[in-house]
Amino acid sequence: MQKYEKLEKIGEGTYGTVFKAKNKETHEIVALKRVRLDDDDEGVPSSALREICLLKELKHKNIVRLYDVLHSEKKLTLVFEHCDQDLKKYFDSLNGEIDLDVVKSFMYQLLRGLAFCHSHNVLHRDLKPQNLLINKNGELKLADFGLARAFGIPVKCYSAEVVTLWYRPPDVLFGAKLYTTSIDMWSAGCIFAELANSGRPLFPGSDVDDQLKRIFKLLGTPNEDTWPGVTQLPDYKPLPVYQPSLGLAQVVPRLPARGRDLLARLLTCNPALRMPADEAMAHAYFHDLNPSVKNDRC
Amino acid sequence: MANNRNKYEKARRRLAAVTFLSNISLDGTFKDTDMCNIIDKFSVGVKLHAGCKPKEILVDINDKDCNVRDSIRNQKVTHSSPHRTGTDNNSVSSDSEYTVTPVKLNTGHILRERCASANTDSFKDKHVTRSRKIVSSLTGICPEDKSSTESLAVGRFRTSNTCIPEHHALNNEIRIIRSYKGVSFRDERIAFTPLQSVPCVIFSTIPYSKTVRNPRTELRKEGVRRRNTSGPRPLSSITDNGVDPFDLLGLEKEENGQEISYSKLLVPSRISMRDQFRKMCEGEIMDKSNWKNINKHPHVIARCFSYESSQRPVMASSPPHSTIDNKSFEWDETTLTQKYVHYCPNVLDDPELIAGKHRTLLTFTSYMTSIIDYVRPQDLKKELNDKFREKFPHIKLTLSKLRSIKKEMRKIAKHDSGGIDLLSVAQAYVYFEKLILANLINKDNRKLCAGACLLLSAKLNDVKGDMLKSLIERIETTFRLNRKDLIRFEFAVLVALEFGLHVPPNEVFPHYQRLLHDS
Repeated sequence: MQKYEKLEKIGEGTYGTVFKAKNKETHEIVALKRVRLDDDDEGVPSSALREICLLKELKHKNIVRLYDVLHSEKKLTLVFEHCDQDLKKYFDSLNGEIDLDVVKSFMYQLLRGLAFCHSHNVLHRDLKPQNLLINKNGELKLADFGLARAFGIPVKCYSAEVVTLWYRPPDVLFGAKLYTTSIDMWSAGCIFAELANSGRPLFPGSDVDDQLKRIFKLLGTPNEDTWPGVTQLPDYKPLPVYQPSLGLAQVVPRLPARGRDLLARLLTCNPALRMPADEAMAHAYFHDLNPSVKNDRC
Repeated sequence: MANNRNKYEKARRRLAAVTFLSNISLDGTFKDTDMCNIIDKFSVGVKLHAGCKPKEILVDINDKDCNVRDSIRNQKVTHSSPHRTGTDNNSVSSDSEYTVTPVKLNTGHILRERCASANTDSFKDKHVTRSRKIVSSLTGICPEDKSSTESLAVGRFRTSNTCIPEHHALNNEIRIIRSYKGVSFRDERIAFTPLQSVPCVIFSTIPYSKTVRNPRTELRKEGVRRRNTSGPRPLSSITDNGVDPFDLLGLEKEENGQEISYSKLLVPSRISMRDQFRKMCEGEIMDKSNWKNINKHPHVIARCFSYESSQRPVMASSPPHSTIDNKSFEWDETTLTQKYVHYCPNVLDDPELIAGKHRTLLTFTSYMTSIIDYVRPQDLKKELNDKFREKFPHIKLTLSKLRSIKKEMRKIAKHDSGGIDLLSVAQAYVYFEKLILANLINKDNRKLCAGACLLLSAKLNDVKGDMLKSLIERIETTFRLNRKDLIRFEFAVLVALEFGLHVPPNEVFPHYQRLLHDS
């Protein structure tokens, strides 16, 4: 007897199929992730393992809830909270301009979810609009923790193959094997700009080099003065020296000055200087945030 | 004649002196000092030798039997409490209200009861009525006896008390003495003696305990090496038939393709940790016996227990500070409570537990030094394992086995072409030790579980692709197990750990530090 009735296929995740389903008893709509288990394989896929073990610890309003883990001999099913759409689909549905209050609300919720992860020693490492879920009430939730990992004890063995290229920070693009919460803050900055531009990606690079060039064209090429140790990074390569264009006003024209200031602090090449999530939440940009968003406790 | 008498007197004194001296115990324990002296005093003409035994004393008393009986019949019997040196007067005077204690003159007595119940069948005790008071002195020394040996008895009998309420069973010759209030006769030697007379009954109480009767513990005491028989089936037979990891870990499992829901395991560890802490505070389940109870439940992982060494210097358990930037994400409120409710990395495999008793620590004003005697490795191993077993009697694994498995895990991780980092190993140690503390590890599953812990830890630490493949192969060869079993155990271990693979850095760090130190 199946507890859930499959309704439709939502998509293919990193390790299995995602279905929309209904709980037959409570009629609650959920999202099911199916993971095949094969004895001769490598066991539980690490992405499923990460989602189970990390989401178990991360119960927060702005983080997608893992309701259940179902196990049978050949498969593993993760039962998630269902959200109507992700941020990418939300952008597509806009066809026009986004409300700046919505930008502020989404950005604040993103930072709050991130701050919670970071305070629980979890790096998301794959922030992008597709992994931010939006529900009818305008709530934003971080999802897909398949690439997330714990941090705390610094070891130089973190994978550098993380984060979708467009949202990958310059230090990781240079092959840094040791990073911390700053990795997510860069992505948050990219998403912030994308929100303000109603879904136009900020740095849509085609490969690592192109990505770096796009970044440095806007922010200036870093050197040992602005970023001590940058030349020591494993994949460091000298790139054309661009001067900082300070053109944020041109890049995100609709964002007010305070918003541009926050964006500049998030999009800082030197990871040590990038603003952390809890500080960003206290930034002046959010002073006039709708109190119902701010006070919404988990 | 006078000469003869003098000689006799001299011999007697010398004998008394020798008896006295030879009975002074060097380690402070009580030997038959008092008894010997009394006998010496009262049984004139009986040849005594230094090592006189209780049995012989009893024979002497037997000879004097009628004497004693007479004295009981004739004298106005007083009752005295056990005396400390110099406090006799006090005790005599305050005694009058105490009830009668039966005198047991049965020298060929049989101690039927374990404790202080006396058998009086051979002595017609009818003379002793309820109103009569009879001396009972537990020390075996009469209050008037000012012999020099008196003081020796004090330390031994400090806690005993003669005030034993008597309960008469009318028309019955058996009288029962119950221990009164907090007074117990445990480990005491008790003598009954009328005033100014020899003790008539001497006996010791031997505490009744199951462990003494249990032949297994006797074996252990004799130093016979205990085998860890943790499962009826030999490992080989399991691997042939296919293991059932859930059975071996004591977990429920799915039946015929049915799905099992683990939603109850998805409660954040920190919340349950806080719950546990609250429970601990409320119920004060801080002592060992209680955390054993916690650990009985297979699903409650021992992430929380208290143990005194958790109060070791904080150095080991303080969360490491990230060196990348100046921020460190501490486990805020848990830092306060971790002392009591956290898994403590150094409790199970105590780094201090290396030298055993063969170490002498010399503390000088400006420095400390230790002298470590040579000890046969076998002896040291046995001693450390014994200590470990004393600390964790419920754990079915010896310390040496635990350490050797950890060493093997380390060996698997180390590899010339792309080994896995020590942090993964340290984290795997945490998982494995938590399983041990939850009492889930036995001889049959220990290697499979250790392998699964390593695999889980590696997967969470960005080990993937070819590195993961070669790791699995190394686990297979080193622990001599097959992949299928390992993979099946992986999920079982995950469930046994309640999906709690995201452990706080302060649980991992001490292991990591030790691994770094040893490499």
